[in-house]
Amino acid sequence: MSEQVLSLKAGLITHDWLDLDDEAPLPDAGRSLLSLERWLREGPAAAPGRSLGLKLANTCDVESLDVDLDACTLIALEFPSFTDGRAFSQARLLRERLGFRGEIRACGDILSDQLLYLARCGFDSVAPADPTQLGRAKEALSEFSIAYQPSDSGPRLRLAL
Amino acid sequence: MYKYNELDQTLVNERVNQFRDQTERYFRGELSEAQFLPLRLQNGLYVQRFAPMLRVAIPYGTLSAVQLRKLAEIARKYDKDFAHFTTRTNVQYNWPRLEAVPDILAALASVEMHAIQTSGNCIRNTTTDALAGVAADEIEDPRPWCEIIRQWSTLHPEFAFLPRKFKIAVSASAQDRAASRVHDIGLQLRHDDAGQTCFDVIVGGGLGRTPILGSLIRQGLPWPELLNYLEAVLRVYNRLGRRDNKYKARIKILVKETGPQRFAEMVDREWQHLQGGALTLEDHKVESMRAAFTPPSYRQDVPEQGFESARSTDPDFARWCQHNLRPHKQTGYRAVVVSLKAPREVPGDCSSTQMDVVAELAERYGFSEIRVMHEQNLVLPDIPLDHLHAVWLKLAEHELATPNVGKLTDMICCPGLDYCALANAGSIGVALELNQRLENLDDLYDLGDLRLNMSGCMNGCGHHSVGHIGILGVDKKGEEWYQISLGGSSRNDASLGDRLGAALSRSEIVNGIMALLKVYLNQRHVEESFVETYRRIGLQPFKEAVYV
Repeated sequence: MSEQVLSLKAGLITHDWLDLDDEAPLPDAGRSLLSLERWLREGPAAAPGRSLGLKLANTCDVESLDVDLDACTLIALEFPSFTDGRAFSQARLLRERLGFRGEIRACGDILSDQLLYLARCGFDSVAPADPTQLGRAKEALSEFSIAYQPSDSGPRLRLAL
Repeated sequence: MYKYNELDQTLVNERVNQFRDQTERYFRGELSEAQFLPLRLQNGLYVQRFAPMLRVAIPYGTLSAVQLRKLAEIARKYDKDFAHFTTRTNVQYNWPRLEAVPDILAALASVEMHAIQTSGNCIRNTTTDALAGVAADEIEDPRPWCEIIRQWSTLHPEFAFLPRKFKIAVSASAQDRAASRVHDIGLQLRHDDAGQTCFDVIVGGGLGRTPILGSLIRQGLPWPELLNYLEAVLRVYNRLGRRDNKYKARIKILVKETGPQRFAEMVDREWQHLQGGALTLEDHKVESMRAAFTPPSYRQDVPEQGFESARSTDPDFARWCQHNLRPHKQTGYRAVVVSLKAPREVPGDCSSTQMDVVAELAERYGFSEIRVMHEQNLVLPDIPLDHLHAVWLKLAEHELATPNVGKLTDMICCPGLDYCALANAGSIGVALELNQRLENLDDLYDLGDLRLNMSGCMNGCGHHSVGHIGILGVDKKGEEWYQISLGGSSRNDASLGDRLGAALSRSEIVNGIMALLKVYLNQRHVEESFVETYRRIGLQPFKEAVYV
């Protein structure tokens, strides 16, 4: 993940998650992101009392995840290409159906032009591979004041439908 | 027709500003070619063979006279004085400058129009019957439902980056004029036993390189659940549609590979969670939408006499009445099909002057409303009998009264190699030559109702797979060749055409079509149409005539 992360509510923050290689030992302190394989193998029991995050591929069926979501501080969803919109659905399912209350982060190839869609699908933060995409975040998030689709996430837009 | 409220207008204005900013960032180098591409496509902007092409949305094919005049003005100011109406009932400008597009969008926004989602891998313009609201065989006006779908699908945050484009059509009459079985989703509106509106949902139809008729996956969907169910279909598709190969990315491939029954179960599972949720439609919402489409105040006393005597004294007028009028719900009225298929014109093209003429006629005689047909003609839906002669005279003066609607020369045709960057072969030249051969109207009428559809490449924008006669342009070592198929239809008898045999060269294709027509004329039974004869006698006699 890049160093710069955008919190969709609080603006720019510094990235404080260690994206852990599957083979690397779990550090003693700090926040670590685990792959699904590692999570299932070692689980949160390997690091009691620590903040752990889960990285999910955009092909993952989040509804059939055998994971205790309450043990998860953050879920990172991948955008291998900005034109691949599968993670938008994953985020809505995590937030609206599975009731996940931790942080949902978008990672990878993301354009500033997608920030508002991300926020409205339930993402809390964005860590784009190209951090310059965050330069116009504020404008991008206020491009629209109206929406036709109800959403409990993101900026409060006036509902037109 | 539906009028924007303050919220609709604000959203479209905001979209213009967003696109202006995206264009400026592209020119400043802040957006790369690859980044700008999907963004501009979602605003209908292609870069074509010679110039950019801008596709403007005409939601469910309904236009006001004011809007049509604006389209004419834009053609005059920013293009070469004409525009092209498409099989998706949209309109295309073939020569705008990229720099001018934000200004064109602003001009469109001033008359409640936009180019949102007219291209790109997102939910496209929802289409329906061009005779919606006036057709004699209509169960219910589909336009309120189309407008509800338009709003729900506009800038939907979850479905802006789908595997591929997604097209929804709504049919609400006994005769399907919306081609609902060849859309990603076809909704067939009907009334259930209790008289309540419901929808039969057909999924996974489509044309293009893999033409498939859609499968019925839900019967009698209750109207309050319409958007919940659409959302369920789209979510299953967004998650599971193939993204590894753009030619296998449409929902039709997912439905085919999964099997319609299993696909229906997957949608049902998703729908169970969404049922009764935030998108559930309420009575008052639908009622207020219906109120936007209440019939105009028709005259109850339209005299028939003048119309009848004009028909009996003027054979040209009578011929036009016979072929270019459609029955109307309201006694004393007709829907007028304005043919954009004059013999020497490109099918679907319309000059600024012609657009102004149609707008003026709509204002004077037809409650200011115009429709676009997916067959690439326009419709004046509400013309009283006593003004038909005046309307005809004016249309004829501007080459808009060719009496060929539903006949062979009323062909559907994509822009082909003449404009499109994808095309393998020209379609316009073939169309013009066919017109010359069938210049004699009696010959044309003798061929009866005949749908000839032509696409310049296998993406199938000219709907060749559902033409009674389909022509597909193919490239063979840099030369233009044409593949014929027979027996297709997009109506109630929906079927995909059968391939006749090897492709014909440019010099052979028109003779080949003429040979097909001769077989029909020789073999038909009384009152039998071309496609009926074909279904009775099969491919062989046609094959023998073409490949002598």
